[in-house]
Amino acid sequence: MSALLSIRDLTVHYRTRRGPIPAVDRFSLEIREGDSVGLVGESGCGKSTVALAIMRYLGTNGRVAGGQILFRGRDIATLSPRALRDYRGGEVAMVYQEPTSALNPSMTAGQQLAETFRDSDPRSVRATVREALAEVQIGDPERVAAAYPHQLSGGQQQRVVIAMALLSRPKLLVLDEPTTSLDATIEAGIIDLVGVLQRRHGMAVLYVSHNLGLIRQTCRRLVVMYAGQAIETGDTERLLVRPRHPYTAGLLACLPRPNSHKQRNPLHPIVGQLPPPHALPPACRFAPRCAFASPGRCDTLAPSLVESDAGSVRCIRATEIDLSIPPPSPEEPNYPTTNDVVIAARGVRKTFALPIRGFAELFRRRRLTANDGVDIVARHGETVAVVGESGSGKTTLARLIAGLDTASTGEIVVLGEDVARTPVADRRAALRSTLQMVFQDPNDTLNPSHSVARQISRAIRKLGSPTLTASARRAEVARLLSLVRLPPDVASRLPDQLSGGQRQRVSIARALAGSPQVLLADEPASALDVSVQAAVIDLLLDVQRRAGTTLVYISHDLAMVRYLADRVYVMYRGRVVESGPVGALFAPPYHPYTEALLSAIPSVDGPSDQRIVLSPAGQAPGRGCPFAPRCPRRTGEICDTTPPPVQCPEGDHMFSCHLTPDDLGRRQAMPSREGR
Amino acid sequence: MVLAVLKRLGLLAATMLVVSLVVFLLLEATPSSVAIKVIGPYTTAEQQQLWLEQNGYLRPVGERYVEWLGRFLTGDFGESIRFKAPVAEVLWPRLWNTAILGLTALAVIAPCSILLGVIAGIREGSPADRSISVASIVTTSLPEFASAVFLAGVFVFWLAWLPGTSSMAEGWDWRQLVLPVAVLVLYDLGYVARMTRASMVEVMATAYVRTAVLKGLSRARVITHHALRNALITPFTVLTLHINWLLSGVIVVEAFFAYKGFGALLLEASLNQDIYLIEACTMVAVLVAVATQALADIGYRLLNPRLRGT
Amino acid sequence: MTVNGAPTGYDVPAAGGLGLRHLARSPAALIGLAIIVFWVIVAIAAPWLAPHPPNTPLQALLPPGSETARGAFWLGTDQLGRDILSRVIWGSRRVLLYAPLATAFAYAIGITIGLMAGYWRGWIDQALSRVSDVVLAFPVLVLYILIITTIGASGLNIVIAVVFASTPGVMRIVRGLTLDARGRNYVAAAQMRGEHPLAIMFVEILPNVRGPLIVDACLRMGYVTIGIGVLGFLGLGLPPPDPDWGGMVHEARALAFVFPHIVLFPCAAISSLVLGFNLLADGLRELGRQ
Repeated sequence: MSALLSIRDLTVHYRTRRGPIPAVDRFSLEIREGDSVGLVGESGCGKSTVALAIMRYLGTNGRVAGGQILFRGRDIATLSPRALRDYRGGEVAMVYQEPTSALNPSMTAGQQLAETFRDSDPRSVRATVREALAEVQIGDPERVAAAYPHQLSGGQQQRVVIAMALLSRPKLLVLDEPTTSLDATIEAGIIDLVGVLQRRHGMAVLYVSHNLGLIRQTCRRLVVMYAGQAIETGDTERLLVRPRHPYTAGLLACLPRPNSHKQRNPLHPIVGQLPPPHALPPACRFAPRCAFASPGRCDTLAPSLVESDAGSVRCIRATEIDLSIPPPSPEEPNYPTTNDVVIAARGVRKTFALPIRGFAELFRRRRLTANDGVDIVARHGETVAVVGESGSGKTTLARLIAGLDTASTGEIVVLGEDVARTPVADRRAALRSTLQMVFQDPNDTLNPSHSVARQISRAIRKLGSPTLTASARRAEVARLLSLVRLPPDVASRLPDQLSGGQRQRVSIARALAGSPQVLLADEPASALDVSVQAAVIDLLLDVQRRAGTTLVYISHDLAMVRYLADRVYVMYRGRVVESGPVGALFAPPYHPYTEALLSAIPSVDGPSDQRIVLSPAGQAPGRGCPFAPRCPRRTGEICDTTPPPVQCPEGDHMFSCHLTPDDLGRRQAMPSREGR
Repeated sequence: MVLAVLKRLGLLAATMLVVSLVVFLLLEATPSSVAIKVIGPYTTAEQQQLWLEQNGYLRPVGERYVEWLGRFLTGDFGESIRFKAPVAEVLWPRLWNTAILGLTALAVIAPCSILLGVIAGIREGSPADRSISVASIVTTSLPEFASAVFLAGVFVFWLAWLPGTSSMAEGWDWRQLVLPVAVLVLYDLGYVARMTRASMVEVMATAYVRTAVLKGLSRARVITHHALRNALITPFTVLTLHINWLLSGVIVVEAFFAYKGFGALLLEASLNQDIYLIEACTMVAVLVAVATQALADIGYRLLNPRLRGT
Repeated sequence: MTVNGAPTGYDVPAAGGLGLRHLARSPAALIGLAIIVFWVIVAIAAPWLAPHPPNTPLQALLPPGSETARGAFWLGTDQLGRDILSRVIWGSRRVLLYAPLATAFAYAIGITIGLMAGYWRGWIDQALSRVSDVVLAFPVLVLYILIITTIGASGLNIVIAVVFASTPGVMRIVRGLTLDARGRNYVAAAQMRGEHPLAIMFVEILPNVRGPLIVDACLRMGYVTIGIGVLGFLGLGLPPPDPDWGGMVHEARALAFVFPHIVLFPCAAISSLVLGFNLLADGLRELGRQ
């Protein structure tokens, strides 16, 4: 079969003040009709640039500096404006990362769908729009067509974007991180939908993603990119099981596997960081970070992409080295724990007033309940994970414990002191030092105007020892930096001059200034690349091991939680729906919501199986189970009307459901779920 | 939506109430100074005292304010000292003249500034963009009296095409309106054009414009249906809010060209310490400004689907 | 670094350095700065630069370039026989004294209350915002006229009027920037280590909002310069005889169509200074976006 799209030695430069920087370097790729190809790599590797180049849309400062892109044998660089429009609208379509910003805020979904075709009969246009929306499994096409984007959920928006892309029956669909901003259960639905549509219409699909698990489920073939180059290609299964390039192997070693746990298998982060595009290593671009690099060869000989039966690889030592995943470390990491309760929250409730939207609300403000009777316990030295999707109230809970907000009712006892209604400014200094927080977004966790040294010494003065001399404080800054494995010269830099991972380490160093007993970590790694993520998690665990710190880990990433947590709380709409030790919680019987979350983890291991796709969140029921409207295991009216009782299958594992553990266990004990 | 409009109108009324209090306190808090201004500085203390007594100025401030406000609301603004006539009679014809001047200027500014802004913003950094941007910076840098001097120097002194005063003494003449309007346009056009440009540049860089392009739509359709619809919300707001500025400009222009308008009246009142006239002029000016602001807010809600339902 | 995807150049916060080295990248900012520096030097060196005393009548109504004026009076003389060049030079002193002074005061107050309103929110914010709404409801010039009519025309009163009229605008901008910054995690981190609220406002938040504030300050200097000029033009400015650009136009308004040179040069002077401020602001804004 001939190639649908073939990219030959594509080189793309972006113009900047410092001169042109190469974003993509001699990149080649063939996509056949109906094929599914994954393009993976960390941020900055050039994968999105390839996607945009396929659309011939590189912005004003991007330029194809070499090579060509052929679509059915025709060079797209030579297309006339008219032909280019037909190409973009008809042959190749694209779906983007942020559905919210990809839709025009002042046009209804229907209008945006309708304008792509030139049919002038409004009735047939309306019918086609309805059909298109029904095809992407939108339940209520009439309503969605009439809605403005802001009236739709993220999942619905992305379905509209996909419907729009499919209207002209393209031969190739390019998806650029289509689910990155969506919750896991919604993501699962979108991924399944794309698979269904691809089979139905026989189109080719190019998936651009950083998520190897996702790619495994959707793509037959894989291209791994690093620093603008393709470094390994091959069949997905082969590539993920037996990677041939050290970088691919490194990426896989960064991922928490289903059966690994912090007690047994440490993660293996890739050392160093992606080289900036204006200072690329002269020979192999991965050599400075490569554990297998051989001096004198890897830093002098530029490797080329070598083809073989199993795909191609860009490594001169590919045949010499053994990349089987490193064995578990011999020494058992020891996490000291005791039974002392450090944090005990009971019946925590937090409501926020919503903006007034009508006459009636002038007198009765509507309130949003972010936390609705949450109980949580954390003991000395243990890792307690709070998981849930956006809107579950997990971050609110962290902010309440931290004192950045105060609870409406309930109590939060930290080291024997109820601080539920004490904002952090009014807490005792010692308590502040004891309880510190690591924040999610590395971009604003450090003050951009102050140097690293200044920010850490400020924390030392406020949390640690206020009386230190200037030189002693400098030494303490250096000690804290070395604790988070950063070189001392980082101290004099501004946050702008650090990478995301380095910033996150500095913020951990800052939190450690007062030797805290409790660290609240709100998605500390979710904004980071896989390799950096592993390093940050590794660091947090290291701190915990040395100091017996209690770690409260807020996350939506169940794979990571399964890896590092001792106990887990699953939150949904402000309530804890299930809690228990990590082993019990990740095996049936579980709460139907936990079950859905687990099934939605995109994994790089094992065969894909049926995911549980949840319908979008609807109206919250009045008194019943908050999950009832979306629950695949809903038993009947009782779920909507009666609050679910707490079920306790064993020990301190408990969940709130009308089904008994035995009932649930029977329904959930399908063999395919094991090994996840 | 209805609630939002009512809320906005309530805010308008509250603002006007506070403004009236500020104006009253500034000008009438100390009765002795009022007396000096009304009956003149060369009067004896007894005369002033008598006048204050006769006109009820010896009562507490609060009582006087309430009474003043009551008269104001019924359209009784008192007697102008300079014109020896009821303030209302002096004010309305002048206001009408200014409305003609201001609305003419606005009718030129609105389409021109939006057109220039859109042309500049469609492609950032293009030659058209650069020239429009530079020109608008230069024109907004000229104070109204300076551009009046420059324009008058060219068209009155040098070319002698246009009259240098616009008093309309010999009846209505459109030629006398040209220079005042030109000065107002020159000063305000650039600002609105620049705001339009910024809004257009921002919209052109959004992901939804990219979506539209990659859908295969023609460039014309992308601009008219996707970019403009969102980019024009800004100039609408800027233009309505700009009436506040225009009111300042009108004072300078009317003073320069001796145009018999409301701005010249305010200035004359202030130079002659004609306090009742000042009060009325100020209140009218603020009312126009506040009302257009309310209009801008409500219009913004109507134009923006995200706010329409709330 | 946005290599991934088409870099738009809009995602860098304007908090970055705005030093001279950065200015070199923007011709607009450099030209603007050059104009401002020129006038500052003129103002400082006025006693040495001015060929004649500014208030002494010499020979009335000489147009520039006329037989008698050549060499002695470069820009001619006014209706009272004073040298226009000397008056323009001396006039720069007044503008460059009062405009920065008033702007600086407006900023000192506006930043303080803006930070408080934005950081504490609640009733403090409500109260401050409502007050500033009332002040901003006045057309600027109407407010100036009202204040000057009430308290009289003098240098100090002009500064008071400008500060009163400008502070609410500054406060609004600072408040908006603060509202955005207070949600940042570095502010939460500062709260977590028990920093005093004032320290958070001035040490953590203020340095990060300085970019847009510097741009706004330049623009505002331009507006204030125009405002002071207009007051002078309307006859509500600084009392004579000391030269003041707006006032020079006011005094010679009646002769504008006969001897335009008297009003032309002060107008050119004030326009160029305002242009300097506007160019600098525009250049800085562009740099902040890069």
